[in-house]
Amino acid sequence: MREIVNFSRRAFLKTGALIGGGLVLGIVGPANGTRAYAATVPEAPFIPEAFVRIGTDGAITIIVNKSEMGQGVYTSLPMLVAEELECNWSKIRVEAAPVDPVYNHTVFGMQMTGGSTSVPTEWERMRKVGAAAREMLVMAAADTWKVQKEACRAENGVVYHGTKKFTYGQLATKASGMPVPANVQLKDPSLFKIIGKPTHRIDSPEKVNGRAVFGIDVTAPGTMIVLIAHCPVFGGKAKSFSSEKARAVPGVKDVVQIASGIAVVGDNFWSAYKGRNALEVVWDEGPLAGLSTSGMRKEYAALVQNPGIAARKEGDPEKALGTAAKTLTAEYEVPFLAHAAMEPLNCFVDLRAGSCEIWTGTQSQTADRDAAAQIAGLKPEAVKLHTAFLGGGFGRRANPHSDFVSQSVQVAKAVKKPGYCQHNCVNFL
Amino acid sequence: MISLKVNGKRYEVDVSDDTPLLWVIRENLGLTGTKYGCGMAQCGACTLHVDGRAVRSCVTPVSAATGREIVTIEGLSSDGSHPAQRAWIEEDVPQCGYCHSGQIMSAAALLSVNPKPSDADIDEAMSGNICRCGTYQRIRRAIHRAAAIMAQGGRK
Repeated sequence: MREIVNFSRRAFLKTGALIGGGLVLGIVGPANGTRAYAATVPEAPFIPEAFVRIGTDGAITIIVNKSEMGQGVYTSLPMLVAEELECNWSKIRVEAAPVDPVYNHTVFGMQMTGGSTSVPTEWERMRKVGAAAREMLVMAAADTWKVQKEACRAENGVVYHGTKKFTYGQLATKASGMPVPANVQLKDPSLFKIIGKPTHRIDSPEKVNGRAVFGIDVTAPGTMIVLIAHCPVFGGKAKSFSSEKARAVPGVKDVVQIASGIAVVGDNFWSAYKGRNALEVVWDEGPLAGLSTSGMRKEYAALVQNPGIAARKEGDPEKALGTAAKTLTAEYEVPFLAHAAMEPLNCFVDLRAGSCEIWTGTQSQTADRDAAAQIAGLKPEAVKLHTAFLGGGFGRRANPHSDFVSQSVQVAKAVKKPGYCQHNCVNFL
Repeated sequence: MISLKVNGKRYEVDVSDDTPLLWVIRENLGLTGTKYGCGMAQCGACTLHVDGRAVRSCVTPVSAATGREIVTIEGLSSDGSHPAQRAWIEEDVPQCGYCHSGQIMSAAALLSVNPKPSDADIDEAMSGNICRCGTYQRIRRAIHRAAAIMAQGGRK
């Protein structure tokens, strides 16, 4: 089965494969190929809003709109692009996408990662991106050679016509000026060379030498470290507190109250940690004060006595059980599974007059950016959010209230000093 | 001032004596490969080597590390060529990757004293390193592979 995809330029734009009138196959040398969230470059430039860039050096950068949290999406989505692009897999590198509608989840309508949806929902779009880029490279070569593009073929990062050939790097500049093809033909699955084949993860090398940058690793000179004392009961609030002893800890710069707790601001982790331990807080535990594991277990045990919802019914089980020679009864219980990641929740905020820049490992970029903008009193476009590696997601980093990002921006706002805040939620799963 | 030797380099740091070695490594020296997970020696993400032994740096006061040879994941090899690092890539061990600096440092310490560990040896040596993604089976395979690389002459 050969899949022919017809789509107008307008529809192609709408799928989000590109914005602004050109698939970015621009001139990008190695020096510009750095990650947007590189810890040492907090002023890193806003990267082009598209999914693929081919440098004149032949490097192929795939901009991934999903968060890498261990599920392998920095490898799987590039595989989809590379399959149709006919490029050399070893030339692929990955960048985290900035926040932009072009990177929205194709079903959920906002930029986010979750629900095991990344490959199914990007399956077609990423392949079309790769196919369109390949077509534009072929057109650039054909135009240079003054031959029909149908007489050219692309393979392993090279376009051939007879004995003539150009590498993708050589074609990149010219290809960026080619029209976006109205139709792209996607491969028959029987011809797949990458999809479905065991492929080593792209991110392993930097994860075995300590160089992978997780949210918690992002820093800049003068960064303040923030730890927040939260109520031991979810949803509780501070009734009153004394910060006198905390402020006496060397290195503690400030103590501020935010909606969800008391934040201790230090010039390093250990000062903030000792400062937080020295806080004296009286908590109002709120409406969930009586909630307990044993109480929930009782509630569940009572609920299970109610008739449930039939997921599937075949035959007549009641009758079969009634006439069975032997019946077995068993109860199964599974424990509560905390959405607890190895990397403590954290967020790096650089809040200034008129702008806010955030580095964090999140599954929910659009919502987090919008929440930050609201707290900072900025337009969403004035907030730049960079996605770092997630030291585990498990859904905890896709929070509808954007809790850890919101708290961090609240603290940065309350501190009212220029500079960076790295907020580590150490006691807050 | 506290004097430290990390990955072969000497450093003088101005921190209080009780500061955990982890934070000196991460904040003062900027070596962020060593991770912070729990702060109470329960997860192993902060594992590094002190005089060749795997140590939980989050509960090791910096004052206890002066005059000793400290090696972090960044110093295990200059180019990612330690047998454990090579095996970790070949077996595609990391998922989110957050725990693996610590996992690899524990594995390297094990291999330095036991170049051909059994499954039981591995389970015992690695039991203090938690992986929330659940990569334990591949960790075990990778340690066997690293042992094989070493046996074939790959350097420790």
